[in-house]
Amino acid sequence: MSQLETGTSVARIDHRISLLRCFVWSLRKELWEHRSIYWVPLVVAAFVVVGLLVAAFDVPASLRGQRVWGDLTTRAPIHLPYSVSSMILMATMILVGGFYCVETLYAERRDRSIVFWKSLPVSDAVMVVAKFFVPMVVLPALTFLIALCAHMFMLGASATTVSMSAMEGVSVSQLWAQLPLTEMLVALLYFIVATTLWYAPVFAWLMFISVWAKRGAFVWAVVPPIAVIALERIAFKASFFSDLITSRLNGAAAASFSARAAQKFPNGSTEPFFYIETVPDPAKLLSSGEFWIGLLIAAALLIATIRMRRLRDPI
Amino acid sequence: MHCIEARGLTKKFGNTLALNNVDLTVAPGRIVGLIGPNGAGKTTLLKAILGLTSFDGELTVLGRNPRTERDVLMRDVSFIADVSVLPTWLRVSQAIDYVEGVHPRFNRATIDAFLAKTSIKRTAKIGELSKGMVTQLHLALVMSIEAKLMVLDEPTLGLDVIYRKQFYESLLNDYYDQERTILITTHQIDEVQHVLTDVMFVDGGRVVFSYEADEFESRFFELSAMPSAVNAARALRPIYERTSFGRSVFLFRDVDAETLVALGEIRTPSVEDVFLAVVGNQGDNIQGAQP
Repeated sequence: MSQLETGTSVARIDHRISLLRCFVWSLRKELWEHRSIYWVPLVVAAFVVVGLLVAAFDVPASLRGQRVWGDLTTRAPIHLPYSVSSMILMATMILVGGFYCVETLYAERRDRSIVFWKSLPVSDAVMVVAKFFVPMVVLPALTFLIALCAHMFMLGASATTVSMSAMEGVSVSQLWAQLPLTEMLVALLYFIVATTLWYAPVFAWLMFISVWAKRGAFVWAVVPPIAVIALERIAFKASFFSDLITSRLNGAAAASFSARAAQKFPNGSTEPFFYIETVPDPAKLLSSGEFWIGLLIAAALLIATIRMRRLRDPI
Repeated sequence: MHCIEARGLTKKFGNTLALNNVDLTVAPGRIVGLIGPNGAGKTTLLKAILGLTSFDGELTVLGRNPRTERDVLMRDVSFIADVSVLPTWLRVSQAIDYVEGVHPRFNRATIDAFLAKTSIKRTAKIGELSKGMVTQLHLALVMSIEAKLMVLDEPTLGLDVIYRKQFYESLLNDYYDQERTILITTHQIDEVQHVLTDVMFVDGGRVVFSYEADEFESRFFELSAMPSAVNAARALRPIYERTSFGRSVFLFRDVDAETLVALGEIRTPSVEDVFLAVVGNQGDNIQGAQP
């Protein structure tokens, strides 16, 4: 029997809202609040694009040099704008994510809005996980898209400068031959994902401090690790902890890529040209204990953050 | 099932007892006023009920433990526990969208009707609104949630007289029905007294006295005693005595009206007078007045 036939004017509503819906709205709320999440990467991207435009004018000369000096020695200048722009965008991603994490749970207590959010049927777990999604998913996806656009722009710009160039023997097809596009994009995506996962415990630590600190969240996030490093260096002349921190902040590439020796026979030469190439190595990353321990620490800190938010009041 | 049931509710801040072994039962369909001086423990009690603070003792709200099931409980509860908690960066339209997005009992038509009576612009950021407008918006959001329990802590602070009156009218006419329970704290006793079905006086972390609004007129009398009857009036153990225009005025609780009529003029006191008598003079007079 339908609702109408029962004669009730009020339809029976299921008074539940799916976790997914709560999560999506909470994530949207984060983007409303922290607009730097997309503004900062876009502003940096604008500068990167200007830099790429200038670099595009050097491409015909690099290609010509390559014809003269051989295939491999001049590969680097052609690839350089792509890798440098990726690095800059990824550094931005990490910085924006870090600042967001240390701010988010502190800001909602400072402006007292935590009381309003807690007046709604959204659990602390959904709220905290939505916040964690920002550095773990939103920023990496945005960074990949921006890098993709920047690289397409660079390709278009350098194809234009090359085709307009009066230099002898330089052609657009020679440019394409130098740029294995799919390979580059897969490597970029892999590097972004690996770096994000590598940084997960750092983001989780910053969020934990953000929910825990009564004031000066940033100071609390930075000073304890520095204090431990100072203590172990001075008292024990050890560097165990500082090595851990250094490798966490600086070791994403080393953990996820392998350098290997390669050789080529350029321009029909019989003499091999030896060089080192860096390739994505997921097996190395996934078999790294440090990687998994980092993820476990991130999960533990996230659970602590959720529990802590339950107890938190405005400051 | 009781809407709120507390037994031995205790909360300490350092050495201060904010809640001292509170027992409390609120049936569904009541409008309960918690009235007490600053620091009486009203807000702490509300926060415990809303799952915003830890406590010792037993407490169930709508059959749930507010401490561990806050998010589930909030499907059936709406509250304003603190003024100015709406974030300044949020736009009015975003606030409405978000609450609609996460709350199963939110009714957009209701908030549209509420906001139509105000001059709040939907595109405005909350930080751009005046204090009174922010309160209006928050009240409108809370009133648009068709909750089983509504908790309002000083809801009309900073609102002008006209809007305050409008608010209590729509609380009674549009919002309240026999299945909903409303819990209000306020300093403005006169403003809520005609709204409440139950009054609880809170002081020193305890519910010191409670009564149903219906029985107020039959339990409390103010006697303006004839000079010759002053001693007789004192013998009936008034809970409060003051002098007004040269005559002694006594406040009685649970004393037969006919006995009092013989001693002078009687009238129904204001809730405020009773509050001052009960809470203001707790140490001595009230003890003597107890049956």
